[in-house]
Amino acid sequence: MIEGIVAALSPLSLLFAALGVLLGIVFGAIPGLTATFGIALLIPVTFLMAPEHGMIMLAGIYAGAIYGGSISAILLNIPGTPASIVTGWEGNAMARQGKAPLALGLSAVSSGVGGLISALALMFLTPVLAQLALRFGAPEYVALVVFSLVIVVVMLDTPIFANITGVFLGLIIAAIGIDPVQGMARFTFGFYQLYSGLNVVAVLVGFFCLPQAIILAAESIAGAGASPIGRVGASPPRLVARIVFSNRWNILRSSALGTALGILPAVGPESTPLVAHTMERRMSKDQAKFGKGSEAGLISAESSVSANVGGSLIPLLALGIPGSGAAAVFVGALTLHGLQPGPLLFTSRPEVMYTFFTGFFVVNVLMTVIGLFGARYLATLLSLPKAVIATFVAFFSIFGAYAVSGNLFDVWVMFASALLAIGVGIVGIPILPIVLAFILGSVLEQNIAIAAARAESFSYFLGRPIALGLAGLTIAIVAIAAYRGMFPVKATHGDGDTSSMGTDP
Amino acid sequence: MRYAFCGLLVLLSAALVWQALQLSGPASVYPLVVTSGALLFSLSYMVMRVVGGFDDGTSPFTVPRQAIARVAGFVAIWLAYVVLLPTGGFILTTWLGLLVSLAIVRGQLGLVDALATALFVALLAVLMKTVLYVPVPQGWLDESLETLLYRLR
Repeated sequence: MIEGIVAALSPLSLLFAALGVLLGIVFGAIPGLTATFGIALLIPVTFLMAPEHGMIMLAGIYAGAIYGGSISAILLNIPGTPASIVTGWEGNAMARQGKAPLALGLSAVSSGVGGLISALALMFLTPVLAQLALRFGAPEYVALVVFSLVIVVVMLDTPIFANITGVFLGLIIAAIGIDPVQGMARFTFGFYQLYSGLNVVAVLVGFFCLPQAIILAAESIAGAGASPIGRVGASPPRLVARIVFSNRWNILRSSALGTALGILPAVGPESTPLVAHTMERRMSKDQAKFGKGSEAGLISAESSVSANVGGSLIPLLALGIPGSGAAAVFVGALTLHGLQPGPLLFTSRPEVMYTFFTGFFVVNVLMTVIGLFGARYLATLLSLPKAVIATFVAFFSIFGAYAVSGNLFDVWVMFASALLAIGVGIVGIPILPIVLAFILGSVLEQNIAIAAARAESFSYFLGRPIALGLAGLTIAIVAIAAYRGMFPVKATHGDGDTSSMGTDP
Repeated sequence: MRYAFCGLLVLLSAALVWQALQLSGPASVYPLVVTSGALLFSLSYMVMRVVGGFDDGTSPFTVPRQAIARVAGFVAIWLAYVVLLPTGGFILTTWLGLLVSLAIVRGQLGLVDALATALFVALLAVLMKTVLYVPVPQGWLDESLETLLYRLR
C-alpha cells in the first residue's frame, strides 16, 4: 500500500494525472464531446505507459471531463456533457446575475470535494467488495452479470424492449469469435481476423467517437458555429471556501448519494445530479431559489456527479462490473494492459491498485486547483469551430482504432461499430445496454459454460447463497419494474425532476 | 426512415439466428439463445413503434436536408482515407484527409488550413517515429522523414 502511495506521488504519476485532468476538462468543456468519448479516444495513448500511469491518466480524463462539462453549462447554458444539465440551470442563472466566477469556483471546489469523498469510498469499499468477490464461483458471476444487465434494462427511461434489444445485441457482439467450449468460430463471416473476437478499443471508439464526429460535422454544416465567450473574471477563493463550508452537510449528503448511485450499473453521472438536486431542494429552507441560481443546488449537483465517478469505478475494480458507460470503457484500457478487472487484480497486481487509488485522490485535488484558478482560461476552448473538432475527432477515431494493434482491419471494425451506433441511435435504442452487454458478454458465457459443466443437478445451485441472493434480487427488481409498468405512478415534471438516464456522460 | 432502420435491425437479427442455426452441438446453444432474444425483442420493439410511433423527439443523428450531401462527403473522405492509407503512406494521406475534410465541413479551403494541417501531420509523424512507435503505413514522404531522422541522430 505504501509503495502504491509513493508511486502515485512520483513526478511521472503527477504529470499524467495533471495531463489527464487537463485533457478531460478540454473534452468536457467542448459541447458534444463527453467523458466516455475522451476515455475511448485516449485508451490507445495509454498503451505506451505503465498500467498504473495509464489508469491515473484515464481517471483524470474521466473526472476532468465530468467537471469540464460544467464550464460551458455555467457560461453558455450548454451542458458540455449530459452530466452538467443541472449545473446549467443553477450555474447559468448565477452567471446571468453576474456571478459567473463564483459559480465556476463553487463548481470546481464542490466537484473536487465530491471526488475526494468518492476516492475514500473507492479506497476502502473496493478491497472489501473484492474480498467478498473472491468467494465467487461461476454461478455467482452469472447471477451478478444478469443482475447488472437487468438493472440497466429497468433503470433506463427508454422503452424496455429497446433496452432488452440493446442487451442482446451487445451479447451477440461479445459472442463473435471462437466459442469457449468447442473452439468453433461464430459470426465471423469468413474473416479470420474475427476469430479472437472484436478489438474492444476499436468497438468502443466506433460507438462513442466517430458518430460524435459526424454529429459535430452535421451541426457545423447546418450553421451551428462556435459560441462567443466574453472575458471571465477570476474565482474568489475565500468566498468560495466560505460558501462550500456552509454547505458541508449538503456536500456530504450529495457525495454519499452520488457514490452509492455510481455503484449501480445503470445510474451514471448524467442522472445522479438530478436526483441529488431534487433531494437537496426538498431538504432546503430556501426551495424557491432552486433552479434560479441557487448555490446549494449547484453544489449538490456538482459534488454528486463527481462522487458518481469514483462510485462507478468501485464495482469495476472489485467485481469487473462497470458502474457506468465511461467505466465500461475503462475495461478496454485494463485489458489493453493485460489486466483483468475483478477481485484477482488485488492479489495479482496490488501495487497497481493502490497507486491508482492514491492517483485518484491526486486527480481530484488537481481538478479542484485547475478548476478554481484555470477555468476562466479554459473557457476560451468554447470558441473552437465545430468543423475543426469534427475533423480531428474523425481522424483520431481512425488513428486510435489503428494504433492499438497496427491493423487496418480494426479500423473497419470501428467503422462497423459506428454504423451500428448510428443505426440504433436512429431507432431509439440506447447505447449503454449494448456496451455493458458487450463488455460483460464473455464473462457471462464463460461462467455459464463452467457452471453447466460443474452442476450435476439443481442442488448444486442450492448450496450457493450469494448466487441465490442475487438471483432473488434480480427477480424482485423485475417484479417491481413489471408492477410499475402495469400501474404507472403519475409523475409531475418540474424543472428538477426531468430524467435523462442512459445518455453518454 | 426510422421504421426502415427498425426493419433492418429485425432482418439482421434474423440473419444472425440463421447463422446460429448452422452451428452444431453444445456450442450452438448460447449463440442461438442470444440471437433469438435479439430477434424476439427487436421485433417486439418494431411492433411497439409501428403501433405507437416515435414520440420521443428527433434522433441525434437527424441531419438537415441541405447538409446531407456534405455530411456524406465528410464520411466518404474518411472511408477513402482508410482505403488510400496503405498506398499513399501516412503523412500524405493524412494531410489530404484533414484538408479535404475541413474544406467539406467549412465549405471553404484556406491557405491557413493547408499550412496548419501540414504542420500538425509533420509533428505527429515525428512523434510517432521517435516516441509513440506506431507502425503506420509508409509512403515516400514517410520514408524520407525516416531517413532524415536517422541522419539527425
